[in-house]
Amino acid sequence: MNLILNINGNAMVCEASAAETLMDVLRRLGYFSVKHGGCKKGECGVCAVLFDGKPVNACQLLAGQAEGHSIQTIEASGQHPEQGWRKTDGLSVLQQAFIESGAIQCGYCTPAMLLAAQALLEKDSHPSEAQVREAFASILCRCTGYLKPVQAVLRAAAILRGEAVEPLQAAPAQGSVEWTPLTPAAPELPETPGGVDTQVMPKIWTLPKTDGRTVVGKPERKVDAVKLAQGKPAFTADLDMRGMLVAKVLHSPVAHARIKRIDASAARALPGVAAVLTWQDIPRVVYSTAGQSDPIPGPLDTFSLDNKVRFVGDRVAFVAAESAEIAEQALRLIEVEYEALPVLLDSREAMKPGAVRIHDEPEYVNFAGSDAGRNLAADIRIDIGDVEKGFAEADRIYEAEYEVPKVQQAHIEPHVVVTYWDEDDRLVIRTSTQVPFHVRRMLAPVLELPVKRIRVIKPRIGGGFGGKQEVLIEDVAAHLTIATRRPVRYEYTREEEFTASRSRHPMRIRLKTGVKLDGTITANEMHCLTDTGAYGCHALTVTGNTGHKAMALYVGDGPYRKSPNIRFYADVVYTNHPPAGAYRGYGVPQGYWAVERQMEHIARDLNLDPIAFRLKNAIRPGELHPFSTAWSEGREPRPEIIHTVGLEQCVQQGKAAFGWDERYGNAEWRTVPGKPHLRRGVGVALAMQGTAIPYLDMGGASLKINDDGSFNLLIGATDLGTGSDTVLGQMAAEVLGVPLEDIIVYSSDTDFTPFDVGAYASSTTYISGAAVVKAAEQVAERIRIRAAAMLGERGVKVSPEEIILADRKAAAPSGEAVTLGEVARNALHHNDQEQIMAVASYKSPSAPPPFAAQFAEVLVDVETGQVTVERLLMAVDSGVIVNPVLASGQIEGGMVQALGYAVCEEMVYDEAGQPREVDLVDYHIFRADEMPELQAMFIETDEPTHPFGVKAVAEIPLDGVAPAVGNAVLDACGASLLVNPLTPERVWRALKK
Amino acid sequence: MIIEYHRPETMAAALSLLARPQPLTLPLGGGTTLTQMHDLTCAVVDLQRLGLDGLNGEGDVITAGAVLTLQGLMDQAGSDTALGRALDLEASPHQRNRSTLAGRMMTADGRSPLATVMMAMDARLVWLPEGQEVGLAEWFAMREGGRKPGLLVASLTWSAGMELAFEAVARTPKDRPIVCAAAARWPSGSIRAVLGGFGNAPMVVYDGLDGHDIVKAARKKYAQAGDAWASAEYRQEMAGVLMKRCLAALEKKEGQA
Repeated sequence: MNLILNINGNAMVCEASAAETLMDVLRRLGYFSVKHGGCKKGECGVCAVLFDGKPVNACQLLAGQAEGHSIQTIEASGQHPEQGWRKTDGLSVLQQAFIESGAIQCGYCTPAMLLAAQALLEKDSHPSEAQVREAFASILCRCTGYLKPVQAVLRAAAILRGEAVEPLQAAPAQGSVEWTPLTPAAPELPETPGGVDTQVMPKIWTLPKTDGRTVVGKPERKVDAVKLAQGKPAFTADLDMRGMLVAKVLHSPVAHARIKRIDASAARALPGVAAVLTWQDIPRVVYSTAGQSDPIPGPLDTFSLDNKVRFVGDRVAFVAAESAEIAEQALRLIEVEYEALPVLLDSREAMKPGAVRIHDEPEYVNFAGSDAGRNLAADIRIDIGDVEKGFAEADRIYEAEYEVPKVQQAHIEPHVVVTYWDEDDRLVIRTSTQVPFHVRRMLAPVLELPVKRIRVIKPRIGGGFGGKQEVLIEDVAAHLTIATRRPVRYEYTREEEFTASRSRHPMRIRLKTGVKLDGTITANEMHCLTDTGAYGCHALTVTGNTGHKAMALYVGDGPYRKSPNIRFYADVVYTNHPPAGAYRGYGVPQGYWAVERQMEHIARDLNLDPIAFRLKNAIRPGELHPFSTAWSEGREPRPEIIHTVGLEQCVQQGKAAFGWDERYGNAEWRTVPGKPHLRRGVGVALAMQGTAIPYLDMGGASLKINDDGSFNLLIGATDLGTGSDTVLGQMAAEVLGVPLEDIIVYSSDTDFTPFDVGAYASSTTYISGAAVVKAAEQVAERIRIRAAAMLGERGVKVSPEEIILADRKAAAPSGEAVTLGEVARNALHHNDQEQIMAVASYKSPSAPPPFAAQFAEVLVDVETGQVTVERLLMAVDSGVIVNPVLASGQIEGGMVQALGYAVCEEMVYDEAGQPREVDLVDYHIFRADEMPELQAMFIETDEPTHPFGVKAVAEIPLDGVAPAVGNAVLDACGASLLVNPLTPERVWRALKK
Repeated sequence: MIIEYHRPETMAAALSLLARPQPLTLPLGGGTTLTQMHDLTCAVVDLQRLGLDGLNGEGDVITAGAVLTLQGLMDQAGSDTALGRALDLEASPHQRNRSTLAGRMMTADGRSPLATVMMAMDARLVWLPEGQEVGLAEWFAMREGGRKPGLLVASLTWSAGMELAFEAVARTPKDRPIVCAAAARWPSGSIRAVLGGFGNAPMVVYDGLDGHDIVKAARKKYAQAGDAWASAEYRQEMAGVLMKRCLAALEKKEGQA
């Protein structure tokens, strides 16, 4: 039917079918700010538009319904301020506030948030925080924790009212006057955070050595924020190509079966179908989907398509068609006869004699201890010290079995890929991935193409959290492009994200700890039984990190500190659940659930202060990482000293800011007047993560100067919304003495940017950052040499080593200077011409751990078991903070993901392997209007192994929240749970005990 | 898949379209449900021009048009009332801006907080063309048999003057309830108590004059209410806890009055 739609004040004539939603039509017309979250019930809200001024989900509205109404998208708001000779008003106040406040991380939900905020401010110029949160309640954000978007709206509202709003740089956060002295003193109740100009910047205990830096350490705007605030077509799916086909996959309806017969003839005959591929149509190449360095540290057990299905959601056939509707119709026409096999879902049964074998294919390739005959994807046996002697020397032995669930990354942009042949018949894979270089290397044999004939482009990514460290769907589109010779787009639905994606590994963890009565840990032993699901992607390395990080924090005290006794054994088994994989934290949150719950039980049983007990046994600066001589992700381990540990300072400052001493053990505070069914409690957990994989992770950077003294920084590192492009740009800018705006950052394209392992293992700031610094230092050296010569021609005698790069100039100590633009033009055009540029790479012999103290406050309804988390505070030692706004955004957003792990997120299956959760309604992630108060603070340490002293920040916020909440529930009401999440029924049952 | 879209100007035209035997023709309110039913082949009749979005009080009867949005109802009810809280849990703000009252009641399951509260309010559906009134409980019982062609919900009605209480337990403050309870008390002293959070539809626990052990009745009602989300034992216990809280809230309101 023909429609006239009033979009952004323009009457647009378009054609639409009766079934087309407004979202479909808007995206077809090029309004790519209207994003697609793949949901069926409108739960993600990223497709929001203003419909007669009110925010609505465009996916839940037929295009026909919209005729005669006003439709507004973010394309109508603001423009880049620099448009050449055409003057613009620049960005809107709201857009600017979002950019300045760090409210944009991946930016996928940003247009929807901006529109919701705009509608609110048009209604109410003085909104409360609660009203802003309500306005955002329809839009799920997995990155930010909502705090900075809320603050951005409050700042914008104040600006629009004409009030003076302090710039971020002036916020009282960098000084030390507000800090608790590092000598013991009576703590005070913390100030209540509030005000538009105080919440955006976190508190940072800064180091004197960072004084004088002009870019590193500053809350610079994200380099990609302007385009994201405008909803520009920056993401994988925001690309329309002539003749592009839509791919769909037929997924298995059963958990374990052989495909006895498959007939795709009716589907192939359907008009509009370009290709149908079954296992009979493509090469049978065994591989692993885990996006890791070569060789993959895990078994090769996967085929693009196989004659066997191993979980509900496994692949059966691929279809490419002219439209999604035709593709779906074709899927229904594929006839499949399954020969049912026994279903194995209980990890405890997997290795028992007689258990059904999940991988019996002859092509299976073992790695290390994997044994497909026993359904064993990986095993780990690590003994450090003399564990039995340690137990024998203990006064008490504590043993318990803990359980952690399977949970979803739930990035709001689904997995999505576009493939096409370019004009040189090279296969281009435009994909939302964390690992573009691994995609290229790993898919080459699967597609029977040499690496050199594949180009992988990574546009902006709408969140990944490890889910896109998997080479998950790129092969589907690529096979179909090879089959049809046409461009193909494949985008997961939200249901596919749940049924056919990856997740955090569920584990059963048995923990045994020997302790002396004075609180000295004498030995610690962990046994993990990990369910990797149907495939062994990341099986070894995720579970290895469970021990490597969580079991390394508490080494013991006294003689045990010098020679800790630690055992970590793990069996990672195949089942007929959907595969697990990488998820932010990478096995470590599982470990800390057990370790930190156990520490709490021990402290309470021995009547010890829970924090003092932890610190007594925690690792200290200068000590050997106990696992460093025992295990290194399946590669050769090498000893590693931990140089910086800011844990005690994190505890001290965190306690003071949280008001721990006023609350812990305070019986009066625990009760709620007039509400006898409510109890308050506080809990703590300490955590240690890692920064990169030593001797393995490598990042590269290329830097060149332009005529005006600006620089192109090309990096293979993969910014998945974290802000790594910005942080890396800041480091380059600091070295080169220019503002960040002079660094044009581009990532990543396997044809143009240097190699980088990708965004995982918290490596980018540390590893890729060091590569950037190396490249920048080489460029700086060339600039100094040329500047010295140029100044010499002007009669200023100066050696290159004396030249200082600052304020876009190369200056002699006397103050005589040439601009970097002059240096660039001299080099490019005038004298002894050269392109000043450098390429550098970096791998590290160290993996310096960040540390944190996590505090939680809860309210428990002892009649229903419902837990309401009211406050989360995390004090973090991540070394030197390069960008405080972005770093605190990582902590806030990470804490909220971890909060879901604590109270509501889990993936549950019935006895046939059918999932309970297939959408973000049943799989509830936190909304803006139900958030606890969040606070992130940083205690800087100077990590000597990095030129700017940085350590990782992105993963550690996932570690402590769940156990801190569990400990707070114990504190509140005595309910002791060994299983998370802390659902009302579980708490109620624990209370009944 | 939706194969036809109609936007009639009159009720007669709408009813005529809905009465067609073929293709299956369904009324379209906000679109939040029908747009997502890709497996259903149907035509839709958009009701937006028919003036069914009002909310009126006449005497002690309140009438809400079938396509009154949930947000429209919330604006009137207030977000801090029992009805407002149920609406808040029922749908997010963007969805409340589109989702219609009748549409929700047509598709609600037992976990719907709004259906639980509306049933406690003894809301009734008014069907066209004959103006037949059907209570929500009756509708939920009969809808399994399928909707008859040619019929259209024009409005929902309920009586004014009742006091209402609502309680829920869920994993987070804004999650779908695992168990919820609603109770309404009329000036006559009559109480209607309903449980939600389970099954295909909310369940009426009690409807009559005060004096019965409603808490006990609630517990009994959910004695077998186990599913993948909660055990029957837990739901049974919560049915009692939440209903007790609802009744206490009604008592408090009565005391304040």
